[in-house]
Amino acid sequence: MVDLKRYVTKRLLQSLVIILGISAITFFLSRVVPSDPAALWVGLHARADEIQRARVELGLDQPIWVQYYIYMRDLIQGNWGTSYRTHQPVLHDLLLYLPASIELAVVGQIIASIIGFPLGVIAASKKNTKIDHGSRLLAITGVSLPVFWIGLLLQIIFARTLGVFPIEGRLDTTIAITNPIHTITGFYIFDSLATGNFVAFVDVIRHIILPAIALASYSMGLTLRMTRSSMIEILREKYLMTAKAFGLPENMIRFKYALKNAIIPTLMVIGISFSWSLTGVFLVEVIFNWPGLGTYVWRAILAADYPVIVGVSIIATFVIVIVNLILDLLQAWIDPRVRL
Amino acid sequence: MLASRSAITKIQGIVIIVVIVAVAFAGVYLTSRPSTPQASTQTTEVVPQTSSSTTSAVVNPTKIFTIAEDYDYVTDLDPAYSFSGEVIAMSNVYEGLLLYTGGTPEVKPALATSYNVSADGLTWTFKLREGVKFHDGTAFNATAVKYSFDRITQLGVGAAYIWGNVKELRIIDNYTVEYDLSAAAPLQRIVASCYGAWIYSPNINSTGQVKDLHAWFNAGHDAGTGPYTIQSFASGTQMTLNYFPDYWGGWGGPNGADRIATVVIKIAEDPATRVQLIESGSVQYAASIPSEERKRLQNETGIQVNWESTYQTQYAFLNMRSPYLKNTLIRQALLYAFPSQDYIKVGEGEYIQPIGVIPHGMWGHFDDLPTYQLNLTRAKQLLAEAGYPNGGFTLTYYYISGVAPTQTAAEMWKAELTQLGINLDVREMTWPDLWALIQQGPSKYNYDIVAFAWWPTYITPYDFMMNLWHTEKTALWNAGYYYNSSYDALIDQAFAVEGPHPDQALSLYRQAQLMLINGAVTLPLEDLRLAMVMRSNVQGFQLDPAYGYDTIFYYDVWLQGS
Repeated sequence: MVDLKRYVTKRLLQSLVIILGISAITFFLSRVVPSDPAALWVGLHARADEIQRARVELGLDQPIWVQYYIYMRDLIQGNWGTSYRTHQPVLHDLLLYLPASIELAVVGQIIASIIGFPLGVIAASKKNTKIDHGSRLLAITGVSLPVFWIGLLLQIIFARTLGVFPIEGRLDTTIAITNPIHTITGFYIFDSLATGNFVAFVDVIRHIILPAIALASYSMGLTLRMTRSSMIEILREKYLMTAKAFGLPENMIRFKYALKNAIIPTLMVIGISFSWSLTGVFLVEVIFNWPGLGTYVWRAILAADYPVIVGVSIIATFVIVIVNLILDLLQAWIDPRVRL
Repeated sequence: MLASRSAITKIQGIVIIVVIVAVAFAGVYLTSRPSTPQASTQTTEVVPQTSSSTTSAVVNPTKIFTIAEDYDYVTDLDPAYSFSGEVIAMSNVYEGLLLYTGGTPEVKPALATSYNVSADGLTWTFKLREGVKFHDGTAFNATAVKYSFDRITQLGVGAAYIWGNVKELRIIDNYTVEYDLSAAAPLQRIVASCYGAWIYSPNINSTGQVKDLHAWFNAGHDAGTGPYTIQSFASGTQMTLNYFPDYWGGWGGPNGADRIATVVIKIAEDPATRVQLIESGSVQYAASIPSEERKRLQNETGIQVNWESTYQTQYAFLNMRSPYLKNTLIRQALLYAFPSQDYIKVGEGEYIQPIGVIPHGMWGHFDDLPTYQLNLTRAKQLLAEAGYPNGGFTLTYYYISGVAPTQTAAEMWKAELTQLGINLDVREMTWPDLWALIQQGPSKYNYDIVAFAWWPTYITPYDFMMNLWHTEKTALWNAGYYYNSSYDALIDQAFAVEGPHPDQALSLYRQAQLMLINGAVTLPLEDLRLAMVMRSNVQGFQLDPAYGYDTIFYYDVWLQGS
């Protein structure tokens, strides 16, 4: 247990260093492109003296090191700055967009895992049969087709033509008025269930399915392939032959013994794809109007909205670091050979 | 069974995961609790309070008007700071003393019922409307007018400059205010401005609880008198407006049963998504539909396309300090090389050929001013006179990323200029970066041509002619660095007499426009026409071009059918 505590503490301290480094890099890099945030702040038809006044007010006339110091000082006190473009407090906005992104990433990951793992196992066990070829085709399709194209296709087929799922958004406009979800965590699935709001819960599920599937496509393909190749190696091991000789059922051998060993490299892949799902899925967000971090930071980048860019980088780094920590601990739990 | 030798036992593992997840949830919960922005305690209850309306009508709560905008239009919800796309919502939540209609008479009463102006144009007296309530229940009177005016002029933010000529605003009595001007100005248009002229409740901070008014507004609260209030606001995602039962205009009328109870403004940046939304009827109005889709949608039942003029014009500003463009002959050659007829055709109805620099339909526009038409022969002659018979130089042209009209214009111009031996180097840039470039000033040779659009803050030709071509001490909007004191004198004088002697002003503005045309200072590309794609059940709609972007007055619109 002592080892564990020390390990987690060490990891968290490392994470702090990583976050500090990322914040510094993003802070300075984003200012490389010449731009005038003061002009952005005051708006389109502003006057020269207003812009100058805003420049002083926002501290933009200070040398860049001073600006960085002020930013970090405020950050520690909980003030992540105010968006130059929307005039909203950055932390407030981040906490609006973050749950939406996490929810989508998690549901997408779950879908990817539910399809990827079992299919990978089966494909490996039934190598070179039709099932194997079919699964590999599915994996290649998921990885190769552009995610926005999959999203558009899903939207056209299931939302427009068949009308089974909604076109966009997290929640239906009418339901948001008649059965509003009381915000506890910002995760609509959890909040609607926790407050017993089943009408909204069903609607939330309906809204999240298409974007989650689009998101899952890449991760599913990756998971499937990685599981399959790990399983193929493992299935050759002699100890499995022993288990079979003992008369253990096939499924037990595959899923209880073999999969446990095959899962480790796949966990790493899941960690990477989850991180990507958080901020890199701007295209899915745009198509389905999902109010996530991708859209938020894209608008900020186009407008040179520095506080938002740095804020999103910090939060994304933080989430990714935590997720990787969890995955490493999971790996240690599953694999007794791993020494933390 | 062998004892488990993993680094963590199963129990430890489960405990760790549960703790981490719980901490994460707690963190999100605790920090997101104050973030549920609820507007004032205005409920969406349908039963109206005792109001001054003519009939106590009930607005049908199922009448929900949903809009899909194409970009994040909200910059600032504070009526003093507001100077951008949020006007589409602010125009329905707040009101000024008068409303600009662009017709005859050009203004109509809003929070003021009448006004008169002294002979010298320096004293304006407004009679205020009685029986009006703010959304917070406070009564509207002269105190509120003065409060709103003082706040913006003291802060000096947003469009505060429109009050530059006002020396003082005096309260005469509870329902009469007087503006004393230092120099004559068309105040009736200024008080009807969609920026900087909103009147809001002075009692927001009556309990001392609102520490930062600017932050309070931007959290999604409002304090206006308009027919709608902000019910909820999720920045970058959605805004919901609810009708204000106590609105002074009342809610009855012949279409009372179909009037709009709730407005939902979504942001859908992807054009394909917007098309799907309007086609399926999920929204009643979708902004910026690509012209290909619009042509297809036009023929569908259930969809109507309303063509509306705006007061927005795209210009290509020629840099008067460029080593080539400082020569008038070359500038004229350039203007003769632009294929304006073909360009207008490309717009498929969305572009109108500009005449002069003031958009069609606006006061100060003249239909009989000369325009440059494509004439490559003439252009060649001019170039030869200038000493470049075969061209042989490159010009840089910058346009704003994503603004298709200016990109198309560049490409069509480039094709013609190639025939003259001139290479047009077309580049795109995001607006903040481009503006930063412009502001570096005339001493830096950053570009030859830059293209962007302009529209007025309040209706006067001076807004265009001053901002875009008046001499500037610090470079801001005059992207061509056209510093001509005779021109300055002309338009300054025109503005000074605009209030008391509008006809004189018109003739001065006309002279100033001729100066720009003859000097080939700028190429106006097109006056913008909006093709507003809506569901057929949206009735009563009319765009008021003075109110910015695609502002719709939801109070005047009704939704037919279920």
